[in-house]
Amino acid sequence: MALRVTIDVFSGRPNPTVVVHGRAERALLERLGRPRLSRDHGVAAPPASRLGYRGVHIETVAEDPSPASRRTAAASAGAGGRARAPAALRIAHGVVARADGASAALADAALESFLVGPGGPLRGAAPDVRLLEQLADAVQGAVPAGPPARARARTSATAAELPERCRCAPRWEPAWWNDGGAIQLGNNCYNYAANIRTDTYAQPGRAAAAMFASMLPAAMRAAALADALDDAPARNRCPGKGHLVACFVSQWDFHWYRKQRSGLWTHKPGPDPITDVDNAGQPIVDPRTADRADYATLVGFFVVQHGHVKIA
Amino acid sequence: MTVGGGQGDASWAAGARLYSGRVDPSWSVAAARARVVIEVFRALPPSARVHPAGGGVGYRGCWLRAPDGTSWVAANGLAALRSSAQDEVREDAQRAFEDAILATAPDGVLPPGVRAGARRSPPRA
Repeated sequence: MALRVTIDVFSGRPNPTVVVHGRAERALLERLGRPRLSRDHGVAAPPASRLGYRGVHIETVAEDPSPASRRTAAASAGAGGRARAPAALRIAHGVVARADGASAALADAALESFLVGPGGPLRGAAPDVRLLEQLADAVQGAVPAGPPARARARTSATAAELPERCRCAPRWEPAWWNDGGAIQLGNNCYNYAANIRTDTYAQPGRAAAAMFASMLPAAMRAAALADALDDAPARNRCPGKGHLVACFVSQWDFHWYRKQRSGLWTHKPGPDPITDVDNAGQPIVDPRTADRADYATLVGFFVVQHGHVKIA
Repeated sequence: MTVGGGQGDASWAAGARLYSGRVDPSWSVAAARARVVIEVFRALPPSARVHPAGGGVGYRGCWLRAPDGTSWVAANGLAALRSSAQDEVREDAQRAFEDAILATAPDGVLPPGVRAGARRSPPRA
């Protein structure tokens, strides 16, 4: 037997998949451990039906019939036996789940990022190494420094499909913002978008004594420009310097989003924790198409130049 | 935003989790009015579900807080009592408790439609 590992990420194209056996299979099974799957402990995998990364599928399959593979498998089996393979499991967002809904937290917290990352078993199966880098970043919640872009393999067909990677954008740091205390409660969507903690529930324009006087888009835009945010074209493109943010208004309030290094957008609903999904629970590829409740009107896209913007 | 209720006991407070950029509205509630709201909570059936946290942008629920720090929250068809001694969750499918809290808001504090929207919002599984 062997294990088929598949990253469930694409919608139209075939998902990257690879069959591992022998030493790689044993290593994977060891890291997976023997999770105590249950439907009663409140750990549930995220819903599978959404666009973007949905998890990693691990299935037991018949051994690759090639002679080399059979030799490897035989050597593996003879070397102290093998761990019991799961029939079919899905790993997503730190949770391992069976098709019937039974789930458990992953014992090895780094396993998921390893599986989807450029150092994992899918390295040769993904159409572009950048896909694996982005997936690893998203799973880890942090973006490691990577090699220069020119050193990477490029395929133009894939580049058009993947979210753009924004090297100057802030990291995804939920542990820092979502402290349940002073940081989380004292900083709102504007703080988060600007990536500046003030603990003052920052209001556009207040630092420049030019706070907005209404929820009209023009008023909010003027206030943001007064804080030294730069006007940007309404395009979902990473700026060369700084990072991209977008503002929307409802009749009663404003709301900001920021573009992450992964190319996806995140936000902070008021004093609540930061999140990388919209009101429908979907990853935010473009805030203009996200479920934003009543924040219907786009004020505009802006660039936050680091060290230049002042908010209060 | 904190709005004085005029005739209320300033130690009782209520508020709505509503905004993202602006500060959420909160207001003081008269002690007698708060006791009426708590009676609505006590009449609700117990629930085995977990804390009724609402997420996302837009209206996410409301709260009531007593002078001793005990608080009640309501969102998504659930209501919960939180104190140093216990947490207690109850079903609020008809939004009676949630609406009772929102009804304590002075005129003009909540945008029009918040109470009606809270009653219409689907319960969270």
